[in-house]
Amino acid sequence: MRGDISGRRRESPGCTVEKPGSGATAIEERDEEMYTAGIDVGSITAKAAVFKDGAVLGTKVIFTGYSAGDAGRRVYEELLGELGLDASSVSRIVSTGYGRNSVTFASKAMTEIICHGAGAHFLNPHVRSVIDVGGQDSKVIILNGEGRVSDFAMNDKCAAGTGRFLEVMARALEVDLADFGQLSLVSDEPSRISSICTVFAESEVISLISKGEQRKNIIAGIHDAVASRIAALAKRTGIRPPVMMTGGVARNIGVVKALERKLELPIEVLESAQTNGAIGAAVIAARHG
Amino acid sequence: MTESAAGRDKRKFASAKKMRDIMTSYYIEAKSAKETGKKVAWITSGGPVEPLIAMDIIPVYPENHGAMIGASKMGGNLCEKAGEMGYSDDLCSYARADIACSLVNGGPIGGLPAPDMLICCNNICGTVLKWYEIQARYYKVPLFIFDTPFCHTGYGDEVKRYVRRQIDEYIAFLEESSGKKFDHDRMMEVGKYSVEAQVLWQSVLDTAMTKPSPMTCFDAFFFLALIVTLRGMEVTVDFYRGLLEEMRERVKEGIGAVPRERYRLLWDNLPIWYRIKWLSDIFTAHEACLVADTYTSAWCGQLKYMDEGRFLDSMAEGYTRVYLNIGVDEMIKSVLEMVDKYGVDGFVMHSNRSCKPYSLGQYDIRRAVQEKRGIPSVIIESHMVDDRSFSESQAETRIDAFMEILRESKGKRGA
Amino acid sequence: MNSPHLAPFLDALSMEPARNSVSKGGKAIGYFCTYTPVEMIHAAGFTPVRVGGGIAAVTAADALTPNFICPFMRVALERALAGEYRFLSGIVQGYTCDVACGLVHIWEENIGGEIYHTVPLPYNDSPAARDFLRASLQELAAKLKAAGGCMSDGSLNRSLALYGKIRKTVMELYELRQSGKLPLSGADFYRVLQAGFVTPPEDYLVMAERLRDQAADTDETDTPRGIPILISGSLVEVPEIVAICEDAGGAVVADDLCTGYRWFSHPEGEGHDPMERLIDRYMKRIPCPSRTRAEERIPCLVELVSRSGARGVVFLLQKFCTPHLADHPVLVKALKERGIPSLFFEMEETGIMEGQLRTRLESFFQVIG
Repeated sequence: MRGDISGRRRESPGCTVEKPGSGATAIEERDEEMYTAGIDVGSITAKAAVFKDGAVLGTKVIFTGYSAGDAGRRVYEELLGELGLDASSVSRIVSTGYGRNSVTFASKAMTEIICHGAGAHFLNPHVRSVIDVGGQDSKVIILNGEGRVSDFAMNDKCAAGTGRFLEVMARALEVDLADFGQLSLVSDEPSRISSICTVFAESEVISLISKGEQRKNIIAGIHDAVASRIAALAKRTGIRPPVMMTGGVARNIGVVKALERKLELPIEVLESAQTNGAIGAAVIAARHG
Repeated sequence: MTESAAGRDKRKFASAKKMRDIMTSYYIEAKSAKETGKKVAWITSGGPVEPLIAMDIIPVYPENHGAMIGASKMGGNLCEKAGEMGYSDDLCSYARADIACSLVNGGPIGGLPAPDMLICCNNICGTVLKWYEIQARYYKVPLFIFDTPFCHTGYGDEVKRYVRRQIDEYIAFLEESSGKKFDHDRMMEVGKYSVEAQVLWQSVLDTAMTKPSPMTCFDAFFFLALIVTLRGMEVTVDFYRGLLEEMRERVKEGIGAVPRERYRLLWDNLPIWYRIKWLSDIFTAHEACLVADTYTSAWCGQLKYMDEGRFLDSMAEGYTRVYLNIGVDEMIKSVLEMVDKYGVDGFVMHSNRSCKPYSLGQYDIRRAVQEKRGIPSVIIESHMVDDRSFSESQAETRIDAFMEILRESKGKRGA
Repeated sequence: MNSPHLAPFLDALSMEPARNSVSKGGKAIGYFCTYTPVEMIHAAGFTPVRVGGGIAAVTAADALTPNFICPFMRVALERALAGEYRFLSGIVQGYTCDVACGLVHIWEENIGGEIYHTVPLPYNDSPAARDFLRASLQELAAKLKAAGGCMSDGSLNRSLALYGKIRKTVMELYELRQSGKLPLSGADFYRVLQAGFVTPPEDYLVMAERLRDQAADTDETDTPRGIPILISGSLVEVPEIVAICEDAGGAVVADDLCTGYRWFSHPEGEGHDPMERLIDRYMKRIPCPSRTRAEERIPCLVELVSRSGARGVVFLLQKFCTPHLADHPVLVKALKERGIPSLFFEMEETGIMEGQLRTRLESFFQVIG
């Protein structure tokens, strides 16, 4: 594999442990009832987040691999290990993502739509729309003032507005997908990729290559094409600002910029874009716990 | 394959500029209707336009507009806009481009003039019913539906009565919408021009029987605009008379539309509006001339039913028995006639995602042509206005392979 | 009540009873949609059988149809090419949409049989339109006669009465289920309806009446659990989709489907003679979007929602279906204005895309629940 769908150089799937402000490190000091966890098993990566007292303690990302159930367990256990937590201290777990029902030890499974909404609202209560673009799905989620999902839409079967489209194009271009974002930013004249079909667009890209078009322009054109599809879905759903983008593709600055142009709206992307669903799941677990 | 500048020049049509001028002044007149106090009616391409002209109502054709949008490669963006409005990419791209264009006044002429009324005739498809309904809602104007029942077995007395009664309702609708009285004498005159223009258009198309053909179907797609939009006007008759003269001149001088014409092909379905030049160049490079098509003849294919002496009665039949409103058997018959008439060696079928009725029977038609005339065929897929679903490289590969087969089969037959 | 006796309906879905009627010397005639005047086919002495699609890999039909028509028609043709409909003597169909019309020709050309006919349906309702429809139906009568049928005013009257009774009985089942007296899952209820398309009508009436009596006799009620929803669309032929809707947290309490409510509502028409009553019924029935403007459909849909207590609408549309897809944006808007949330899902021939469907449905129920 050359890169992940985000178009940013992959930090090897790893752990970000956010130090709790109080410096509470000793397990015995913790209120055992207050820990909750969210596990988001996606098509490419599995994510976990642990939540306590209104704050995210840590998150982790690993590759999903063949078994969604195993990935869910592994990412959760590894995160607990890194946080020095015991499974028994976690009072409630919510699973999400396409593999949500494979996480058999979760207290509840919720769709990633609800979880991304909850995660975005937790991280920025002003957010009214969330665009979540992952490996095989893209979603537009509209939130009301209380952060509840009021409407949403998902892509159809076509891969054109998803991370998969970027993967296929990276292969055709023989460029590391992780470099896509930065490369496209230096383009002065994005190529026009007109096709909305992934297969047809790939042949368009190949013919652009053979015509000697510069890679940076082709990549910028690819980002425009992806952004067009997502923007159509967003406008159809009645997107309203402030907008946050989540999911792996949010880490591709080229797509974000193209989407901002199409929507004529600024888009907020947090460091936690990829783990937002897991964070949302942990937040929901705390709410119901 | 390169041709001298002189060679290219002699292939240019003097009539092209004339037509552009007529179309420009027509659209200017239509777009200034509000100022001149004239009424504007939007009408489907197969709809009965003559009564509008007789009543001095300006007919405007969203389908012609769709073609212009496609030809100027603005269809993709407008269809994307329609997608944002909630219209599926699987719907007809004429309809999608038009619906989006109403909202943003986009396209090559900044949108069509708003209609005072809509006239929808379902002889070409069922999509127009939904499309015009959407536009009637948007513009809040009355919609007249001219219902032409599907004719799979001829044209019985009952159909005749039903359609004829609607012509009277149509005229009453126009009188009410325009506040003017219908003038039967003027109608006779318009009817005469309409039939005359159709006869001339057929004669223009007929010149392609000559080898080499003085025109290709791509030329026909272009010169079609007037017979669609302004049949029933004197200017249209004059124009086609001029065009016919030009064609006959070329025939006399032996000027072919394609230099070194070796293969004669038949086109089926609407054009791929955003790749006309591209396709024309590809076929020209193969020394193949698309001499005829099933589409442009739709505006004169009903001449056998038309009678200018009793225009309104014959019009009812003419509009009901168009190519798309008859059974596949009839379509096959019509295609075979064209194959024979124009001396066709191969069949190019456009499988058009925008037009289900036109594309549905193609496989059976293709087989019949293959069996009965032994000529090869190729299918190219597209959405006629939405260039986002077209693959140039795939189309090119198919055409190249088809031409290889054709070359071989024609070689064998010793042509 | 005890669990409803479903076995005869499930058996009938195999089309065995219809096939038997043919092996006993009768003739069965296929049709695609509920605008086909089945009463006439029956009155002529034939068994009307509704052709089904569903989900399948389309291979043989791929050589005869483009891939941008609805999965229903593609899969139906695939099944016919595989010989499943060999017992039919042909297809009679009302001209609803362009695809239905085109497919009749493709069947005639490739499947064979002695009778193929498309009844041109008038778009507007007017005296002229009714006169024209009468003439069109007389043309159909002549064709049925040529195929060995024998229709009289008497036989047409009997067929109208039979189908009227069937529709009334199914309406009762629908209402019993809504009131909780017929404890059938949505999927099973649509199986009961589906059996009605392929069972000789005399037999089906008996089956439906038996089920009704069984339900009517009980005092117990067991209303469907889950968030009540209405399914809107044309053909929902795969009961598993309904099962997924219910499994994800919904309860399908109403529909406006061509394979559901639109088939059995409006049991009979009015008029002086049987033909007039037949015409009246088909002109006044709940229209298909191919036959009318969305303005006519909106009040109907809204009323079905409010009468059934549905809290949301799930559009299950056939991919590529022009009339439904064209109406969809305005229906969504109209529902939204009335505070009724909706969800959209397109059905394809290759499969249900269960993962996506579940995600959407679960989210939808979490949002409206």
